[in-house]
Amino acid sequence: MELLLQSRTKPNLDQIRKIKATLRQALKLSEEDTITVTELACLEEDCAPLETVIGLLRDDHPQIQHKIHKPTNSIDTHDLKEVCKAWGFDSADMAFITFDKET
Amino acid sequence: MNSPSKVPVTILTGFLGSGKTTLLNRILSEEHGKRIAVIENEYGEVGIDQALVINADEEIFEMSNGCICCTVRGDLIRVLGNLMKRRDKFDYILLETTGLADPGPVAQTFFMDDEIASEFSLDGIVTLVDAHHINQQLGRSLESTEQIAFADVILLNKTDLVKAEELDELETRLREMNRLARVHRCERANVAISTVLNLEAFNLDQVLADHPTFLEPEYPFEWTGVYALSPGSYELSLDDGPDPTMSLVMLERLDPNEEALQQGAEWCVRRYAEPASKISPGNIVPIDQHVELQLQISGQKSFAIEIDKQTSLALFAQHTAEEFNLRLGASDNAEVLPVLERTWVAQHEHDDEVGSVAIEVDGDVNPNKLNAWLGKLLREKGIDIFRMKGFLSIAGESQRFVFQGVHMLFDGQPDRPWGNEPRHNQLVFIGRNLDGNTMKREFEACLN
Repeated sequence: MELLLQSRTKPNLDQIRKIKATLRQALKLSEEDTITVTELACLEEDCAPLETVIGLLRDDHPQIQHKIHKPTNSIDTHDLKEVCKAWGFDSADMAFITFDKET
Repeated sequence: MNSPSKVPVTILTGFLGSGKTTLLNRILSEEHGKRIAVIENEYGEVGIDQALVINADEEIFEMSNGCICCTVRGDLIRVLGNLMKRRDKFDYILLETTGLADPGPVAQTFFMDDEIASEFSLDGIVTLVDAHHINQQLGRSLESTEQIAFADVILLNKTDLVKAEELDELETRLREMNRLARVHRCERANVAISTVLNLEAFNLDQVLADHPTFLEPEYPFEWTGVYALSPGSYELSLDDGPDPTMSLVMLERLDPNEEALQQGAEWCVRRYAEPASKISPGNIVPIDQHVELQLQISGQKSFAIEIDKQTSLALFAQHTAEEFNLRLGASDNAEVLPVLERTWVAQHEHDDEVGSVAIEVDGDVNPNKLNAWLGKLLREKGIDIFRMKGFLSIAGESQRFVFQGVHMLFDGQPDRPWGNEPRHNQLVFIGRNLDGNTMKREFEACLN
């Protein structure tokens, strides 16, 4: 639990935009679909201090979300592939090449 | 906390028929030089052609992961995401909710997605209140209560339909529920644009500048006058006022300075807790005792005060001197004026379960203890905490730490340096069934 830490170390916006763009490409989403990325300070003592919740909102589909137990800045290709898997998508590996290179 | 690069957003909320659309159209039709985008949950009510109007269908997005339960508005995330691509088309956003909308998810949306939080700043929440119907609505509807609790500004609208004394009672009730909000009375939502836009309402400094006494404790008296008196007989006169009685404690030898006044106030709070002696007009008012002046007869009422040696006498009165035209006269009928006057934050009955807790403490807080306390508080009471804001003096940090939050979502950042200013902490919470005494005690335990 690190509320003050979360407040002092704001997530890197470029990293957030890159996560969204990579997932959008990997999941072949349309312009109308929305991905949310939120870094949260967990309030439980035995949880990771900062975690990232990624959500997907699409028309005519249930909202889905996935939690990664690390700060947004530490998210890597493996984490994003896990998100795709958890959501039941067959992700295209090509989509992650850019993310790997730039991270 | 508005950053110049962020687009400010004002949320307009209020129960059905409270005048939200009237206010919205009024804002849009005025010459203010702003290009405003409007997000509406209901179609076809905005009558201004040139405004960028986007409709959104209410869609709740539960972000619950076991540790944090956060409900946001999926429709707004989508709309704001699209607006980010058209940022050059507008420089302000007005978001009108439906009358039945819970303002919590709407407000939380601006703290949730980190990209949205970096592009938009929640400037303030403006709640329209139908003065004629709000008392019934507050009893029946959870949403109308929460709309009051979340507000930075409450517009008490349709005042022409309600008597003045009912308006006073209503305003008192609303202020007790939400001590942070500024209350403006109006008819047909006719208010100056500056009362609703660019409020920077999440900035506690601004709130305190507008309402400097709001962090003070509440007292059972509203007014104190300190009089320098020579030995002799004096007459305390009162005209008709708002109550048939008035409580009073008179305290001798109180130096006319702020420190002595505070000490006297604390002493008088204890006297006020004792049963009051009823004093009828024409009788002597005893010193150092809790008395209740009987003011039922109409016209001027006079009471005697006997002073046996040179003193300064402080009157701690339940109501302000102005309300009863209270005057002190010497034996030669010359009026004696107070050498010092003070108005206090009056204590009121708290009938509503929604209320405000203000904490003000000098000193530095230990960041680890504070984290632990805030985490526990938000975990256990986050659902009941509608709004919080304030600033903290964190040990080892040269700058003030400013924070705000909605339910379990907490956001803060270093503010200006403390410099020579005494380091202290001010926190305000608005919520349901909050135990203010426990919260204050627990916060004080976080001090170094």
